[in-house]
Amino acid sequence: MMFAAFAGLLVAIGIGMPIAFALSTVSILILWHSDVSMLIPVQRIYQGTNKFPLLAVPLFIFAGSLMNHADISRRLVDFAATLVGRMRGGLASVNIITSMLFAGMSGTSMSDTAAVGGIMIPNMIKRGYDRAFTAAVTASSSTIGILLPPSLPMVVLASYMGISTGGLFIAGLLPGLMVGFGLIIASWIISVKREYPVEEKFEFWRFASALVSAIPPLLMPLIILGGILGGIFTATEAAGVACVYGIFAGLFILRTLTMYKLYLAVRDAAVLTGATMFVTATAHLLGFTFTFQQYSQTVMSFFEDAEMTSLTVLLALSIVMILLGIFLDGFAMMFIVVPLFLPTATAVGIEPIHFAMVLIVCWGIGQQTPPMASALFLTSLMARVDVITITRANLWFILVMIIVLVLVMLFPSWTVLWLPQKFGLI
Amino acid sequence: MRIFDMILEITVAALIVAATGVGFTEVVFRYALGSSIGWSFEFLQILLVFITFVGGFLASRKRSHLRVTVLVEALPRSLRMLCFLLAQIGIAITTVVMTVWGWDYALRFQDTHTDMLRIPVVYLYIIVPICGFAMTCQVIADIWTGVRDFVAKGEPESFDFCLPGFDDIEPDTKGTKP
Repeated sequence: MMFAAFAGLLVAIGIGMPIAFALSTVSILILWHSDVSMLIPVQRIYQGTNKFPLLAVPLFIFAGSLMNHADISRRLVDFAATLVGRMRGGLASVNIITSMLFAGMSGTSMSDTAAVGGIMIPNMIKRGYDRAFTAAVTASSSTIGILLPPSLPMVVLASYMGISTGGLFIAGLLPGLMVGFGLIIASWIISVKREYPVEEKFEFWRFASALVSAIPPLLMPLIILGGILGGIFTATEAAGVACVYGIFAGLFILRTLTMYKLYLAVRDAAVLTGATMFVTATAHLLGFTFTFQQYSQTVMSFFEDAEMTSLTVLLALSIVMILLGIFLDGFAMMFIVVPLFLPTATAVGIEPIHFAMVLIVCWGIGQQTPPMASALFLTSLMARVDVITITRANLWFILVMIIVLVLVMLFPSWTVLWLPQKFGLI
Repeated sequence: MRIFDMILEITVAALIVAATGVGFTEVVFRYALGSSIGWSFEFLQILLVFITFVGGFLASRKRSHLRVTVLVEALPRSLRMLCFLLAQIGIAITTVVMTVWGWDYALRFQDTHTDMLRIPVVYLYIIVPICGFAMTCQVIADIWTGVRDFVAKGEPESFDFCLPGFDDIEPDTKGTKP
C-alpha cells in the first residue's frame, strides 16, 4: 500500500496536477479506501493553516517582494563589485556575493535568480564570459537563497516539522556561507583557467560609497537576524518588522518605491502566498495520512532490520532526497519525505534540526539538475543557452554543494548545531 | 473577470498588510509600552486561515500553483489532453470534499466562539467550503476552456513562458546557442 501511495503521488504530480492538490487528492483517496470519514481531510487541511509560525510565510514573501520592487539589486551588485571585482573572473564572484546578500532579503532561489540574474547575466555575457558558465554561476548561487535566512523553505519546513524557525535560520548560516565561498573558489579556479577578465582595483572611497548606498537593503537581514539572535522578537515578528522596514526604506530612504510599486509588491506577494500557503495546508493532510497508515513505521523497520548507523541512515535518506529533488519540486519532496523519514532519523539519534538542514541542502542540489530545476530554466531563458549545456557547466558547482552536504552530515555539531545551541535556540 | 481577479488580489493583499500591521504593532506594544495586545495572536491566526484559502483560490485563478509540467510537455498532444483532464478531475476530488464535507464540518461549530474576540467559529471554518466551491467552479471553467482550446488550437493549455527584457542581450561569439 505504501508503494502504491507513493506511486500515486508521483503519477499525480507527473501528469501536471498542482502539487497542493496532488498531495490532498492522493491522501483523500487513501483515507477513503481506509473507510475514514471525509470530515478528517477537511479538518486536517484547516489545521494545516492554523499554525502561528506559518504567519512568517506571507510576511517574508511580502518583505522580499518589497525589496525586489525597490530595485535594490543594482546597489548590491555595485557593493559586491567593490569587494571581489579585482579577482580573476570578478563578475562571477560578484554574482555569487550578490546572491548571498540578496538571500538575506528574498527567501526564495527564484527571486534571487530573477533579480541577480537580470543584472549580472547580460553584463557577464557582454564581458566575454561563456553563456553556459554565466547561467550556471547564477543558478547555483541562487541556491544560497534557500540556505541563508530568511529562507522561505526553512519557514515552511520548521513549521511542518514543529521545530524553531529561528533555530533553523541560524543553523543555515554556516552551510550557506560554506556554499557561497565554495562557489567563489570554484568559479575563481575556472576563471583563471579560462582567463576571464579582472574588473576594478580596490579603491577605498569607491568601496565606502558603495557600502553607504547598500546599507538600507543590507539592514533588512541584519534586523531579521539580529532580532532573532538577540531574543528581541520571534521569526514571525521579525518578518512583520522586516515588512515595515521594507516599506519605510523603499519609500523614504531609497526612494525607489512608489505607491504603485508598493501595490505591485503586495499583489505579487498575495499570489505567491496563495500558492505557498495552500500547498502547506494540504501537505498537513498528507503528513496525517502517512502517520495514520503507519508508513513511517515501515520505513523505520526497514532501517532497523538493516542495522545501519545514524550516518549511513542519513546518507541513504540524502540520496533518496536528492533523487526526489531532481524529479520533484523542492516543496513536494519536503512534504513527502518529512512524515516518512523524520521518525526514522530521530529514532537513530539524528537531531531534527540536523535532518532539516540536510534536507534543505539536498533540496538545493536537486534543483540544480533537470528536469525539475526552475532556477536553471530561468537562467537558460536569460542567457539564451540550453539547459543541458548549463547543467554540464554546473557540475563543478554541484560538486561544491555535495562537499558541503557531506560536511554537514559528518560534522553536525560544527556546521549546523553550534550556532543554534550557542544562542539557545535549540 | 479581470475585475474579479483584481478584487481577489486586493483582498489577499489587504489581509497580508493587516497581518503586517498587527504583527508590527504587537512588537511595538511589547517593547515600547511593556504590554502585549491580547487579541493579536487570535486575530493573526484568523487572518492566516483566510490568507491561505482565499490565496489558494487566487492561485487557482492565476494558475500559479506549484506544478511539474516537464513530463506532460514531452508527451504527444492527445496524451497531454488526457493528462489535463485527469489532473482537473484530481483537483475536483479535493475541492468537492472541501465543499461538501467542509460545509458539514463548519456547521458543527455554530455555537462555539473564539476565546478572545468571541467570533463565532463557524465564520472561520465556513471559508473552507466557500473556497472549495469557488475552486470547483474554477475546475469546471478550466475544463471548458481546455476542451475548447484543444478543439480550436490543438492544446488544452499553454506551457509557454517568456521572460520580457532578455531579448536585447548582445550576442557574442562564445557560448552555445539554444
